[in-house]
Amino acid sequence: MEALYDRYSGFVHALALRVLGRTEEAEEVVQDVFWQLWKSKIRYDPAQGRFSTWLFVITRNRSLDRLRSKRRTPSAQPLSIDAPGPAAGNDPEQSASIAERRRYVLSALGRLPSEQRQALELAFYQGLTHREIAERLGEPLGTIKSRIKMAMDKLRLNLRGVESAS
Amino acid sequence: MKSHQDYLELAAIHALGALDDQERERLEAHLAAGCEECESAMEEARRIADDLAHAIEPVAPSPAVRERLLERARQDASRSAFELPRRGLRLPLATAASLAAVLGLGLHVVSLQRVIDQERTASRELALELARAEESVQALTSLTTQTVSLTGQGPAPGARARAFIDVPNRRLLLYVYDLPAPPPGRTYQLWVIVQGTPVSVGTFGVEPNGSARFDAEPLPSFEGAVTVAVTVEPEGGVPQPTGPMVLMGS
Repeated sequence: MEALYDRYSGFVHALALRVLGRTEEAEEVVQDVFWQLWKSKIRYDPAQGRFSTWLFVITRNRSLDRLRSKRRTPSAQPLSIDAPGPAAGNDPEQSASIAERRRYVLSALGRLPSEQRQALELAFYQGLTHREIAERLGEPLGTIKSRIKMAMDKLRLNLRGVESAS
Repeated sequence: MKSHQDYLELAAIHALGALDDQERERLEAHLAAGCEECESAMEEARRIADDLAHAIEPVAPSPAVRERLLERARQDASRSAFELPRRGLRLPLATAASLAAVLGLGLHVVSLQRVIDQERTASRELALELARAEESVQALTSLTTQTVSLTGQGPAPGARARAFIDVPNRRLLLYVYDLPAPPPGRTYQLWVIVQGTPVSVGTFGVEPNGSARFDAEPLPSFEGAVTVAVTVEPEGGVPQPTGPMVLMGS
């Protein structure tokens, strides 16, 4: 538990902070997520993808539930190279390669057409379903679905591009 | 009836956790029916989602959060230690056994409950570790995993290590043996060297017995032959290797 906390708490906290915008609330989400893990109330299934992605979705959903219960809207700032997240925690395990990887991903995101990037960020970072995105943007559902698919395809190509160029 | 392209779109959206229940069930039924193309699209989309998840820079919560959480876990364990003895006392009283026997039994139940609580705590720890171990097994047994043996260099001639590298899944697992602890203020840093260029994969310490297990994720992707090396560096790591090399293998 302690090892897991030390490895992932900065990640969980940063995401909760991004959605909620308030340190005390983000820290409550950190406590809640790790407590639920500890009490085995939420279980990780390796068939559903990587542990870190699973933890990401759990944290995002917990943060959004909290926002909804207080009838607030997400304060999430878009991710970009121009607007990096808050300063990194003082974690000695934080490796140079992860920071480098983050730069690759942000750069690949930055190269998406703006409407594709918007749909992808609404889905992943703000937890909207594709139907909710279609409603919010006033676009047909089919357009949003293919837009997200195109964004993911392009991201894959962009990620390969930045890697081979580096 | 959905077209194949529809399912590929659903797979991309599902990896982002943005499908509603109805569409998710539809996609899962299609995957369960054994569509290999969609399964591989799903895998690919999950990798991208993982990259997106890592695009957020960690921010450490205050140390008080860690303390509160651990204190709560301790209280949780001690609270449950007193629940069972109360139940355990009722039956002997009802059967009018001697008070001494009851007290003796009660104490015995308390101590048994402590053992159970310790075991329960250990089992939770194990469940969490098991989840991560299952991930490691996936990395070790992947068809795309290659193995690199590393031998001791310079200051650590007796050290040995083995690296399991899964390039498409951007994963590297390193197992180290007989490596002495780094000097004070120093750490070990792992590098993958491709075409002469070292890329940092992270820093790690060693157990008192000289062993270490390091899980690097996500690994930068690369093509062609790779050399894996470990150097001694200042704590926190450096962008380029500066210290002596202790392990190397190709």
